[in-house]
Amino acid sequence: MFAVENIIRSLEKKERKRIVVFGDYEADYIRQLAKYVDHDFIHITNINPELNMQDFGHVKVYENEMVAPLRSIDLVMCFNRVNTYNKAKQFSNIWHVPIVVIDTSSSFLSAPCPQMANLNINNEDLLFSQEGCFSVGVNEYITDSWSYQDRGLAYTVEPVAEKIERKTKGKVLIDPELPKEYLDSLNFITEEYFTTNPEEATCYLHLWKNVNTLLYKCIASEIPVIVLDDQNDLKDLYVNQACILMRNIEAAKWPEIIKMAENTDFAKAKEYVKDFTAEKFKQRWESILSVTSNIFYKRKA
Amino acid sequence: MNVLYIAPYRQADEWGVTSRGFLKILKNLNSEDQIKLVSRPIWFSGSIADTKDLEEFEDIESNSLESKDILIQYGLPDHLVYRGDFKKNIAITSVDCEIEETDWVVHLNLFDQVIVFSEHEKEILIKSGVKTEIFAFTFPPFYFGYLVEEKIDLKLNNKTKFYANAPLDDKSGFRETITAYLSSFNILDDVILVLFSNDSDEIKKEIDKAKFGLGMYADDSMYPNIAIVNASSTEIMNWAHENLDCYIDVSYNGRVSQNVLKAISKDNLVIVLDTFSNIISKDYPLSVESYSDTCCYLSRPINFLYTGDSEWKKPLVKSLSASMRRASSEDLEVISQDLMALKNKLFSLPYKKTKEALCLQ
Repeated sequence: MFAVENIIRSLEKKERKRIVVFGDYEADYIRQLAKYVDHDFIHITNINPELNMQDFGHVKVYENEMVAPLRSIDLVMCFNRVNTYNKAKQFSNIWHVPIVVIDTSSSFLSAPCPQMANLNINNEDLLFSQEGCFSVGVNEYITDSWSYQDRGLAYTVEPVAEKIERKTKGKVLIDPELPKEYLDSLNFITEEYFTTNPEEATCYLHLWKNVNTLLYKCIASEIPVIVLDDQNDLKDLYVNQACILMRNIEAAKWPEIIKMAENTDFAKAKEYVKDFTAEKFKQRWESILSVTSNIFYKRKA
Repeated sequence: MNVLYIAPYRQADEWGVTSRGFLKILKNLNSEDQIKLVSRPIWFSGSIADTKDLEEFEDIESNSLESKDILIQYGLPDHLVYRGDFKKNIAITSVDCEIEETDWVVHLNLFDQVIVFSEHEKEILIKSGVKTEIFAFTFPPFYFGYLVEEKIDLKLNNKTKFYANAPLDDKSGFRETITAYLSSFNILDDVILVLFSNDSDEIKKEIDKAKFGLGMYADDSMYPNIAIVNASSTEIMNWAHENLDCYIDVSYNGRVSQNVLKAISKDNLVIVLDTFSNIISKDYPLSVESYSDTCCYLSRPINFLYTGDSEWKKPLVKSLSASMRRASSEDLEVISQDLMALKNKLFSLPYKKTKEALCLQ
C-alpha cells in the first residue's frame, strides 16, 4: 500500500524529500548530508544508533526499520554494495522508490574493511550489478572503479573536509565507528596514547583500508593521518603526500610518533582537500536529488 | 481530464499483459485528447516484462500529472489505496472465488467505481457484499505483444495440434486436460498436445501418473503423443498461437485469459469452460461443461482465499474429451465462425467499455 502512496508522491515532485538511508559505518557522511542538503533523512543503522544526530535537525536515527516511520518516502540511499545493500534494495522494491548507492570503497576492495581484516565475498562480480539508479563515489578513483559498460549514472561527491576544533593535543585519534572487538585484537593500541575524540588528537591513525569522512576532516584540520598499508583505495593519499605511510608499528613507539606528527609539514596535504567544500558537496547532492526527482522506480531483471 | 493509471503493466504475467491491454486503450483515448494520461508501473510479483512490449508506453510515463482528476489502480484489493485528493478513484481487480470473509470487500467499498473484466467476476463481488458501482467488461482488454521468430524448433505435422499453458497449479485445469486428452485419443490418431510449462520434469511425472491411473493400455506407448516445451513466457506462448491449432484453457479462473484471446486473434480454435459461452456463443461447440465444487487449494497462495467455504467452477473431464474430439474431427471452419465474430470485437469492445466506464463520449 505504501507503494501507491510513494508512486503518487513521486509525481507530485515535493521539493523537500524524505530519504531513508541504510548504513552502519558512515554516520559522519550522513551527518553532512543532513547538515548541508536541505531534506529530511531517516537513518537506519544497527550500529551506534545512540550517536546523537538530532542536533542537525533533519536526520532521525532508528535502530531498525520496524520502528522507523517509513510512510511517504522519495528515495532510498545505502552505503556500498554488501551488508546494507540487500536490505535497501529490498525496501526500494517494496516501496517503489529509486535507490542511490554511495560507494566509499573501490571495486578492488569491494566494501569498507578495517586494516588487517579480510572480507568474505562470494561473488565479487555480482557487486557491479548491485548498483543504484545513481551511484555516487566519494572520490574519482572509487567512482571510476565501479563504472563499466555505461551501467547506471555515476557521479563523485567528496565529503566536506570540515575543520575539527582541537581543545587539547597529545593523543592518537582512532575512528569511533571501528568495532570494539577489532580494536581489542590490535596489540599496538594502548589506552594511554589513544582517543576516539577528535578534539584531543595530535594525529589520526586510519585503520580502514578505504577512505572515510574523518580522514579528510583530519587532513583539513592539520591532523597528520597515518596509514598502515599501501592499499589501492589509499594510494592517492600518499602519492599526493596527504598522509604518512608506516608499515611497522609498535606500541612503544607512540611517543616518538606523536612528537613527529606535531612537526609535520601540511602544505601538500591541505592542497589535497582544498576542493572538498560544503558548497560543492551541497551543489552536487542537490543536482543528484534533482535528477532522481525525474526518475521513477522501475524494477530491473 | 487527467487520469493517473497505476498498474502492474511492466510485469510479464497475466496481470501484466491485461494491464498493458488496458493501458493501450487509455493511450488511444489520450491520443484522441479525451483524457490526459500519466501511467506508473507497480510490481506485485518478481516477473518483469520484456522491454520490447513496453517501448510504446514510455511517452505516457514521461507525462506529468497536472491535476488530480481520476486515479485508476489495478491490483488485488488489499494493494489498492483510496486517495481522497483525487476526484474519482477507480479500482480494477480480479477475483475467481467469493471474498466475503476477507477485508477486500472493505477496501473495494471505499472506491467510487470497481471495474472487472467479466460478468462472472461482477457476480462474485456482488455476492461477496461489494456495494460500490461495479462495471463489468465482457472480456479483458486484449494485448498480444511482440513475437519471437523461430525461437522453438518444433516441426509438427499432425492434423490437430492442441496446446495449453500448463502451470502446476491446482486451479489451472492442467490435470483435467491431460486426463481428457489421454483418454480421448491414441497413438494412431493424427493429434498432438503441446504443453508449455516451466517445470517439465514435474509435468512429465503428472502425465505418467495420469497414464497409470487411466490404465487403458498395457503399453504406455499406445497413448497419444504429448510434447512438453520447458518454457511458458509470453513470447513463447505467442509463438504457439502463431504455429499451433487449438488452445485449451479450462482453468477455474473467473475470466477469459489473455492466451485465449490471443489464440482467437490468430484464428485458432479454443476450448474453454461454458462459463464463457456468453462471450463466444451460447451454442459454441467446443465449450466445456463446468460444475461448482468446493475450493481445495493445496499451494494456498493467499491464506484467506480459496478456503473450503468457497466454490470454483471446474471442467467436467467427459465434456472436455468430447470438445477435444470435436475439434479434431469436425469441420474447423464451421466451428471457428463463432470465434471470428469475437475476433472482430477483440479491440473494439473493451475500448467502448472503457469509454463507458470513464463516462466519455
